[in-house]
Amino acid sequence: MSETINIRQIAALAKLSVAPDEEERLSREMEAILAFGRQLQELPLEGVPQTQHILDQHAVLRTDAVQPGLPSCAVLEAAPARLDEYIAVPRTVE
Amino acid sequence: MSITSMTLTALCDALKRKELTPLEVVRSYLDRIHQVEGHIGAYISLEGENALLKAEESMDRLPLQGIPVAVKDNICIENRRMTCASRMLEHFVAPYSATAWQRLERAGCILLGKTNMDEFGMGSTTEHSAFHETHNPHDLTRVPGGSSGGSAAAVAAGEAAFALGSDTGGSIRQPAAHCGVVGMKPTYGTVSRYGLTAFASSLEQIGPITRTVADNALALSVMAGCDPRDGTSVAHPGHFSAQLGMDVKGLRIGLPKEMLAGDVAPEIRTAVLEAAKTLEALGAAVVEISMPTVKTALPAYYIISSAEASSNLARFDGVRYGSRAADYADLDEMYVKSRTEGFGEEVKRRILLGTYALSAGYYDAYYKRALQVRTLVIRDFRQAFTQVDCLLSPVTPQTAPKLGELADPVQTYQGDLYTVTANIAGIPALSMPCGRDEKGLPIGLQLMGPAFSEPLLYRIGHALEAALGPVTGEVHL
Repeated sequence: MSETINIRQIAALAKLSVAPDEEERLSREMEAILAFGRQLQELPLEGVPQTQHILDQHAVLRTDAVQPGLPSCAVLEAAPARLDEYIAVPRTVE
Repeated sequence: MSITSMTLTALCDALKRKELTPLEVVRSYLDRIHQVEGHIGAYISLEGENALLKAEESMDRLPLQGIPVAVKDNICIENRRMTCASRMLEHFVAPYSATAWQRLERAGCILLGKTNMDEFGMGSTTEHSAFHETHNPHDLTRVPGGSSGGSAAAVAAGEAAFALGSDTGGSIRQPAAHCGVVGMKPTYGTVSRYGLTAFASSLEQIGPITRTVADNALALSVMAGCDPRDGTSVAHPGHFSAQLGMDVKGLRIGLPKEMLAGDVAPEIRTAVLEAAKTLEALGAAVVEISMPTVKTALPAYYIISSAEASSNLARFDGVRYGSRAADYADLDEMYVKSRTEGFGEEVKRRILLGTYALSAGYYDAYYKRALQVRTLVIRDFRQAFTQVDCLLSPVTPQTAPKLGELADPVQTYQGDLYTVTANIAGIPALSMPCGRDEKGLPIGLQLMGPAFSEPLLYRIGHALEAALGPVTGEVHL
């Protein structure tokens, strides 16, 4: 199985942009990596369950009690743009 | 012997007996860093005077009192920059500390600095750092391995008593092998991942890089433990140093034939087989076994890790922290420009691969199949551990390449063939030096055991280390 990769579409899904002069090289590299990944398609895997996670443990629940969190000033300190006590972002609602 | 070439264990003893003071130890390390860091480039940021102040305040009677440590720059330390070697986080200052570091700090460790790495842990040479290259202390024209290349180089060059790395597919063990030091990827869940920047959450662990096997067991003892802030962390049932000094008589050690065939360099194969003979001479039984899924573990690893990375790195969008593009017309353009400008080439490649593998129409062909192969790899290990106590293999198929030598991504990925299996199966794996090639470059071997068998791996590694004697030679800088 071989597929043609629409690198622009994948980049759009990943919120990345690819410069026109990079498209061909990136597509070529991706195709080489996927050819390597296609080894998986040659294996007989009928009926083999998937392992999502190595541990048997499931949702670990904590006591429903208030715990101290990060102070909001520490969070705001890391924000790239602030407006008073808020993180500033471009307008999303007209 | 100089302070900076002492083992962690010897340093702890000398500090406890007050033959040395924390201030003397830290000053020696700062002098050494001043002397060699210009050649190595192990660090992204250095503590300098801060480390001396901490040494002056150092408390008595702590297990690692006054021990200077280097920490990979994807592990948070409160009020310190944490860059992940990425432009995306170039100016990010961590508002809290990772649990692994908190435990070391409470035990008396002193931070020397944060080490260089491949951006977000994606790479095997440390050349994918956005800031600078790191040079292998055994040959400055070569890479130290990666992604924890700065940590391994710092330990090998005497720039830290030990270092923290993180291992998603070999990122502790491979640079340890290239730099002639000891690295452990613990059983999944042994060390809390709280405060470790997530790359592939189901695969990665923090672990120590040290000069000796006993040092490694000591460092891991302090870092390990269940943490309520990481639901995947578990209480380890064993004491890591408990079996050190015990012999290996009667143990059964498996040599997976698939890991000694193919592209492994003849000198590496010979060194690993010589180590197997040494273990036999010490009373262990060495048997050849077969692990047919080894080859398919590698593509499965790259699909799973890239899929998890594409999801984990979605948080870097220029909103709450990290870099934000200077000019944008709307929110969407802000996301795209911030991510495109902030991430380096290899990170983008993995995000694109992961996005593709998870996208409609390709999920079943790639991601689902990779998770099925994961099951087969786990079964293969379970089967192997019914026959043997541990497995012995090379860490890498080649010794450290020259800087700039590995340009092709697929060729680079092939180098992870022997290390990714332990991450896929969640089992512990120890990398330790076992010889040198004709160029004088260190060769590493890997010991893998069932989940929570770290004390056994340390026992075997310790016995082997004593029998082999010094194998990597001095670092001359």
